[in-house]
Amino acid sequence: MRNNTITLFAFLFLCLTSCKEENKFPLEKKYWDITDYDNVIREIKYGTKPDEKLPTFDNPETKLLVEKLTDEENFKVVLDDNSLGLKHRNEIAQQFFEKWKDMNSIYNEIDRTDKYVYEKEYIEVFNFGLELQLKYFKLGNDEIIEKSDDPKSLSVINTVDSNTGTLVNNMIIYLDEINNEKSYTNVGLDLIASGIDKNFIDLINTYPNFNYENLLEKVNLMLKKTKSENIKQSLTKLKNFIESKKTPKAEGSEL
Amino acid sequence: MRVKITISVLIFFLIVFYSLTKVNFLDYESPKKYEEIDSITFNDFRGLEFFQNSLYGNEHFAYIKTSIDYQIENDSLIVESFFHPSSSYVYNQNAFSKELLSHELYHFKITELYVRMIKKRISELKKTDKAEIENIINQLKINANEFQLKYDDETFHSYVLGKQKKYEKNIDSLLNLHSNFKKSKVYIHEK
Repeated sequence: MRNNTITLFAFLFLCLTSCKEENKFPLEKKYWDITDYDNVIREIKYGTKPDEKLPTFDNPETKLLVEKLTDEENFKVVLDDNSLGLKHRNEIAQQFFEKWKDMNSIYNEIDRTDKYVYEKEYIEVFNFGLELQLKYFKLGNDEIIEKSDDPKSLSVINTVDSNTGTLVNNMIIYLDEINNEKSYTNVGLDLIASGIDKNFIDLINTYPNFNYENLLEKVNLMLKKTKSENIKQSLTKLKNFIESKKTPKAEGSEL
Repeated sequence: MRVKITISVLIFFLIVFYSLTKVNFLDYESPKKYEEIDSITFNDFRGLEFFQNSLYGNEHFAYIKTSIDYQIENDSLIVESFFHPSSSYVYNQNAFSKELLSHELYHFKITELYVRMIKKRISELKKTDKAEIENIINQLKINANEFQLKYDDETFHSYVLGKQKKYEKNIDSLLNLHSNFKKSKVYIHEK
């Protein structure tokens, strides 16, 4: 009799407490915020045993997680929302940037043959960061201009120019991966090529008047070095695009 | 005999517990009409939440319960939208979040919008046909529910402020468009 009552209460307790099963990762959530990134990055970094495979695109069980992790919509939904204040968006961009720096070290493992173990994930995280930086630096510059007494003053122009230079240098790090070509398969190299097509063209469209001499020099060097046809094509396209944006010098000028 | 008593007591507590999750009758406040929308604050959100204490990991969340109630008469229909304080929940009744409150109140506005749409459709009827009236109401209730879900999805519960503002503008303008149907009573074949 007592056993029956205990069983009944135990059953009831189980029913009530098991109503909601919490997933370790917020996969059903439409947009991830900073807290989600914080939790997910920590869980992947420290919750995966050394001999366990990290979440990847080719594993149906973890595909969705990596897709969510590298989904640019997560930051775009805030950073592109003009209804939100510039300062707020800038702060969020900075927080995302900090999270991205944490993400960068998740998939950088190299095997005994110097090949990336998770090349697709590594490049997608890289691409996520490039797109994020484009928005982050733009918001930062916009805030500087908005808060300045005179947006056309030399000090403002120099600060904005210096920030843009930092952004360009950060993006050049992506091109450094061409020096590691041997660490990638053809699939990885193709992904790098599409990353160049997308992000560098966006960079130049955002800052068409910036002096891209450093970038152009890097592109020329990488063009000589790369063995990948797709990367060659992307670099050539980029080179032509930079040159097309150059202001033609006035002929016969004595100044 | 003792087993029966135990089971009865258990069932009683279960019913009380379940009812509390639906309507907090311990802190009951009667449903409010749409006319009172401007006076609603989070103090009116008196519902209890026992299990779901976060929404996608966010503990600072709220939900509103609204309804469409109607009564068919000989040549007319009374239809109204209601806000149910004791079934609506907020994580903290003293919360100061204009955006969160506004998002929840626009759910109430959507309900009112569909009430007005029902009245518009009914006013166009040529004769009183109870089955047809109920059919119209049920269909628009389904549409209202779909709209509510879409609103939550696209604004992501007000997280996407740009979308939230767009929805607010759209809903206000639709309510305005149906301003001839503010009164609770509508006559059939009314011109």
